[in-house]
Order: sequence, then structure tokens, then C-alpha cells
Amino acid sequence: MWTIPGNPTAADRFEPFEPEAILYAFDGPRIFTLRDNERELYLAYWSDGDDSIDRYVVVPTSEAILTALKSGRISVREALDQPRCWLCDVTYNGQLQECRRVNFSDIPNDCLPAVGTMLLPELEPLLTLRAIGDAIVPGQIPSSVLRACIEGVQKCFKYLSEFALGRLSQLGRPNEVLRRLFDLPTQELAFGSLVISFRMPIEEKDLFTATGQKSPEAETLEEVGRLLDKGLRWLMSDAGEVGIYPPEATEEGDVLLRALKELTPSTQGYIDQLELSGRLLGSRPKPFTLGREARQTVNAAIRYRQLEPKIVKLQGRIRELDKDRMSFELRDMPEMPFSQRFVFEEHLRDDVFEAFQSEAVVTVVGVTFPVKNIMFATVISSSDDTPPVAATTGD
Amino acid sequence: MCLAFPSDWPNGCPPEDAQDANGTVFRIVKNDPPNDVDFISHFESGRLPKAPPCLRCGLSVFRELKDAVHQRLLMPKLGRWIAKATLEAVHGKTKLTQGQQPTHTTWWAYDGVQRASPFTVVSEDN
Repeated sequence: MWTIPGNPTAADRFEPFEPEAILYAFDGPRIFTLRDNERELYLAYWSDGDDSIDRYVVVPTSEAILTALKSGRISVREALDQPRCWLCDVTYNGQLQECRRVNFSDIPNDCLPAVGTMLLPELEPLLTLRAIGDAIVPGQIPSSVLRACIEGVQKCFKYLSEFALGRLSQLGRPNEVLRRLFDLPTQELAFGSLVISFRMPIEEKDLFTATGQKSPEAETLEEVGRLLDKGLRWLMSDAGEVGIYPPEATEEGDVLLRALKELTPSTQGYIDQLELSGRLLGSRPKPFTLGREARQTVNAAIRYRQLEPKIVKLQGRIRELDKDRMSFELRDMPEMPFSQRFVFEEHLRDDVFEAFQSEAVVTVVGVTFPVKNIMFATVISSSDDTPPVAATTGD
Repeated sequence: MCLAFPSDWPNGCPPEDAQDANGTVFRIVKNDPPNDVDFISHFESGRLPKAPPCLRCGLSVFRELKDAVHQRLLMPKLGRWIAKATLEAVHGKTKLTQGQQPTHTTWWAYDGVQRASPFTVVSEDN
């Protein structure tokens, strides 16, 4: 084992080094609380071992930290990263051999939990993004990076969820789940490097397992995960390298490519690489890593399939509003007998609600959405004099 | 091979409700391919003498890959690799001993079983 730097501490401080509450056990207690000789509460984490010694990281803790740790609001590494820290060597028969005071930052990375890892597997986030780039440094992360990460996931989820819901429409659409699917709860933000974790929008024992009865919510979420995993695997494949998406399942491919475009790092932005992991993407030993070239690959496939969004401008009245799904129906359109469904995002919420309540004629500008018969609203204004233009090809 | 447990194990070990080993299990190992060093019980190493005596004779495994993946992230020093095996009755007995982890299973291997032999390292792409 590696040599511990730092100052030795009186050996009896943490004796008898016995767990008070075991938080994670595997071949014995690995993460647990204990008391020092003044009855103060500490958190211990098994960090390393050889054929005679177990080495633990020991830090002061509190009930608030433990509650956050057990509920998945903070990761194990965050719980351990405290101003005071010790490394304690304990013999196989439980004798405390030595404790040394160390700086947490001096502990080798592979002797600590990976960044963002939760106490138990079921606390792991739905999806975690880690943005990497020269400009992404603690305390100076450009807000555009934060926005790109969050909006990218939101749009990606919107595309895939609408598609999955269309496929699984016979299952019904529970309102609360829709709200959460389209506005995923954030589980954790860590700014050391930029890490954003999105929480499970539902709690269900058999979610992402091959067993058990699944609720419609779970089926929808699993379908979104299956689609995203499929798209990311394609992106990492030889076919992905040359930008050719398989021609079968046309609509699925269209939706996936547009969704992937939202996730991949811009060729011009601050993010050099984006790592994606989480329960949504299954049990992968390593995260998916997307570089700037991934965006170029997706763009090539989108051009090849002529999927570039087209600009739409329509006038009419918003007569039907789905607050959960963040969508509306535009009707009473001059010279057009049909209605048009638009989805929208948070920034348009007030405008849409006002137009719905007033029943006034409005002009809606948007772009085509990758899911059939849906448009994506970008601007809503009181009706102007500009004649309505439908499905005008954009630049 | 004689299907018997080591004679120096505690009485009543494995417990009566342990069942013939059966199905897929995962365990983190330090070697590829896994070898005997990756499958030493606490009873054999002398670790944790105050722990429940029968559990010390067994080996911890997971029934699902996701639990092993999580554990490798949680404690990188446990080992670099995740190994997978399909256990059969000739390998011993198992019991779900879940605690905080729903698929945590204890495997008591028969005396003389080459514990590493059914295990292969799972590819990182799986």
C-alpha cells in the first residue's frame, strides 16, 4: 500500500474503531459511522487494503450529512471531502494500528469513490453529465456551458419522450410523470468539473430490471433509455464514424438523430468532451464519451437524411392547452382546415397561457419537430400583418 | 469431487435455507483472468474475526451487473475487473443476504472447488 503523508494522531482517539451504523457492507462493513473517544460522530470509508491491513478514510460528519448521503442528495465523495480528515490502518483482527491526519486532496484518486458515486446503486441518478474542457475550471465555469448541458438534456428528453409516448399511447399518460419527464428533477450539481445529475422522475422497484410488473410511467422511461442507449451506441460504432444511421425504422432514426444533436458538444463551444452515465443508460462500466466530432457525425447523418428543421409561421387561436405535456393546439387558422399541435418550452409558458385564456389570434413561429405532426414553437406574438407562411424551408 | 464443506467451518454452516448454487453472479476481482487470490474468504484470511462466523466462510457476490458496476465506482481499490460466473449445484450453496443491497448474495463453495474457474472478466463494453 502507499505511504501515508501527514502527522500521526494519538492511537486511542478512534478506538475501538467499531461501526455504530453500517451504511454499506460487502465482505464486512465498508462504509460506516463510528465515535471517537469524545463521542463525536465520524464517517469511515474503506479505501484500500493488503493481506493484513484495511485502510479507512475517517472524517467528521453530522446527521444532516448522513441524511443527505442516504437519500442520494450528496455523493460519497462529497460526504468525505471535509476540512479534517484522517487515514486509519486497522489490522485484520480489528486492532487500530495507526491514524494520520491528512489533507483530503492528498489522498490518491483511486483510493476514493469516483466523483458523483452515490452510496447505493438505487440512489444513482437517472442521467449524469460531466462536461470537460480547458475553460471548465472550478469557480469559472461559463454559464453557457451550464445552459448547454441542461437545455441539451431537456430537448433530448422532449424528443424521445414524445416519440415514446406516441408509441405507448395506449398505456395512458399520467400527468405528474409527464411533468417530470419534460422537466427532469436535478439531483446534484457539482462545480469542481461541471457535473449535473438528473434524478429519477419516478420511484419504482423494478425500473430498469428485466423482472416485475411495469407501470406505464416505467415503460415510458425505459423506452426513452432504450432509444438513447441505441443512439449512443451507434454514435460510438464504425457506422457512426462515417455518419450513416441505419435506414430502417425511419421515424425512430429521425427522432434519435435530432435528440443526439442536442446532447453532443457543439463544435465551437467550451465543452471538449461530455461524459454520459446513469441508470438510464444501463450497467456500463464506463460512461459514453462524446467529443466534438460526435456533433459533426450527427450533423452529417441529419444532412444525409434531410432532417434539418424547417421554419413554420402560422396564425390562429390556441384552443387546447396541455400544461403537463407543455403543448397546445393551434386552430382557426385562415384557409387551413386542420389544427396544428405545437410543443413549447418554459420561456414561452406565460405567452402560451395568456393566448389560451384571451382566445386572441396569435402568430406562432416555430420549427418542425422530429416527431410526426408536431411543431416546436419558438416565438408567440399578438397577430401581426404578416401573412401566414407554413412549412417554409429554413437556411 | 466430494460435495462437502470444509470440516473446520462452524456447525450449521452454510445455513439450512441456503440453496444449491444456481445462476449468474458477479464479483469484483483484481486479476484477469481471476485467480485464487480473488476468492479468499475472511475465514481463510483471518479478517474480521468478530463478524458472524458463517458469513466469514462465504464469499460475497452480486446477482446483477449494475450492483458490481456501482461497487467498482464506489471502491476502486477492490479491483479493476468485474468477473461473471454461472454457478451450478456442484459449486456449493448460495443465499440472498441482501442488507442494504438487494442482490447481495453469499456463496459457500464446496471443499475443493476451484472458485475462480467458473469466472471470466466481463468485457468493458458489456
